[in-house]
Amino acid sequence: MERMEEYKALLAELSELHPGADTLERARRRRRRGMLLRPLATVAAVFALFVGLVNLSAPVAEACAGVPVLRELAQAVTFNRSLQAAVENDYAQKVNITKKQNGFTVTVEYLMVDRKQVNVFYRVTSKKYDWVETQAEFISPDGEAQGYFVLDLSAGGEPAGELWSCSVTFQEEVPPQLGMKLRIYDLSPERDYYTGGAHSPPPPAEDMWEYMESDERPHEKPLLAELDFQLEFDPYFTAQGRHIPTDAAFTVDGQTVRVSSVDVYPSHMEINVEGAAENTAWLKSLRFSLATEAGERFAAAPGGIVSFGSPDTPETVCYWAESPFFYEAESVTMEITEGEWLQKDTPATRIDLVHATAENLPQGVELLGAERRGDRWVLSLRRSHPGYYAQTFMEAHDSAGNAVEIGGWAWAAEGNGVDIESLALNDASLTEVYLTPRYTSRWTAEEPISIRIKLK
Amino acid sequence: MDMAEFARRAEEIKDRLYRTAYLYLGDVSASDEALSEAVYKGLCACGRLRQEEYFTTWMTRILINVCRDELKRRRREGAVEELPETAAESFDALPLRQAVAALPGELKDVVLLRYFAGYTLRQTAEILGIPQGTAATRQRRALALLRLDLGEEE
Repeated sequence: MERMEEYKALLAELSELHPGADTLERARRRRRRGMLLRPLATVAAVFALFVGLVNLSAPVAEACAGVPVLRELAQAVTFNRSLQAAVENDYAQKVNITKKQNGFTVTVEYLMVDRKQVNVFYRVTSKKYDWVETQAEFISPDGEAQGYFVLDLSAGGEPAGELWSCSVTFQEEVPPQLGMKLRIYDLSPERDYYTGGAHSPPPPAEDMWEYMESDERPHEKPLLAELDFQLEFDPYFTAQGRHIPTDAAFTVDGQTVRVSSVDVYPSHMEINVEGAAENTAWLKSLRFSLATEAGERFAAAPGGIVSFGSPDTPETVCYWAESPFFYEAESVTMEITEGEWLQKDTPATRIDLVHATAENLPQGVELLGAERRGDRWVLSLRRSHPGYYAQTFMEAHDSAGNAVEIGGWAWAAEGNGVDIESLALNDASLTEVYLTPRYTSRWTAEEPISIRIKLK
Repeated sequence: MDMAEFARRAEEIKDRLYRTAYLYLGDVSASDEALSEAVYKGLCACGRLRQEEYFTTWMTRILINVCRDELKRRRREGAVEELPETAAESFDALPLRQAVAALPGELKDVVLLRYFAGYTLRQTAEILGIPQGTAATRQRRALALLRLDLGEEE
């Protein structure tokens, strides 16, 4: 056969070739499974932090009060304007799945789902227990943990019989089905030990270590029941969300940061930023709020998630906010009031543990003391900027560069907001330690920096 | 690029990618695996693709790297034979498909993308990360070895 005939025959053969129908889907399924291996690494690289959750909104509660089905659901989401708007717009999947075990009846009543987040609303009833804690774990059909951020609002105890909620956030997309293992714990031993009761504020930082180390403290909550639910999501809901490229920027302290895109979901909004290559510092945090042209306002950090860092650099590249998904807004204005930088190539903070002195502390941080307690050192810091339960230092190493385990953090409020931070180093033999700061300097804008982000 | 957009764009070019994989690997099962692996890698990295106009080029490059890895594995097992450019007569003796498979790697890349997968010379150069002039030279050498008169213009 002549070469050209061979060539034409080969092209004809190729034109008949088609990949298997499920080739792309197999890759997507594998992507979802692969995602599960990353949560720990991702969480270690970022600082997703809890903030105060309760922000009651009377108008929404009133708006929903006339609709019996929605009344309780509206009450359950008063901490989050995005979810409030979702309730107002009937954006909820009614499910009613009931499971019973050991005298407990648990009913999953509603799901609120979009492309990134699953919110589960459930009710626990018991004749014997009136105050329990639940912990939700989300798993795939083959038992692997799912999602990378689980928030269970019943932590610390909830009265039985009320509608509770928990959520799981996905780095990529919500799968079509999800298993939920709900464990119910008896909180009464812990509540009895801590005489203030389960709703008391946490003890001051100094007392916290004593509390944590106390032999009398109940270290394990008795497990009362463990129930498995299989959740299936309406594809309409799991498809909700949109990615909007944008191009806005601001400059502070000579550092330029670009808002490159936003992702708007019913449950939340993600604002994606990137620092200019020539910047001498990484952007570590922002404080901001959002407002539509009609004056509707949205807070940052809905449901306790503040921001996420890049897996490749120390930069924080994604900020969460309440979502304008259900609002007819052409644009939102981001009003930035504060931020934190981490100087590139900054030296570690050195702490002389014996003499309780420090070098290269981040701006506005003071070392109050270093105390050897049992088999570890406990450092106390005061921050001049009260705020989140945020770690000032994420990693520690000794003078030879060996990693030192940080045994935990504790926070307390002396003034308005959390301003005392305490961390434990699990090595009492150290005489000095080097700590990697989360940030090196902070700034506060004299006037809020306004950036307009187009949504349409 | 978000995952939904990735899925849409990948769906559009999956046949082309699959055929490219087939040209490299020569069997449907391995091509299916290679495509699935490339799509998986693309899915994992699509958030970092800033210029969406390069999606096809980018995905094709990922696919070729997957195919090369598979060919390396086969080579370790002695299952792949390439002929040197000096063995012109040996190429003549082979059917076209085997002759293409026996081309030195850098020539094979260009001829597969250009004449079988249907990319332009500029796209071929972008996918392979080489200057367009280099791609043109390799294309000329490959066509000469294969004794194919397909025209070399863009």
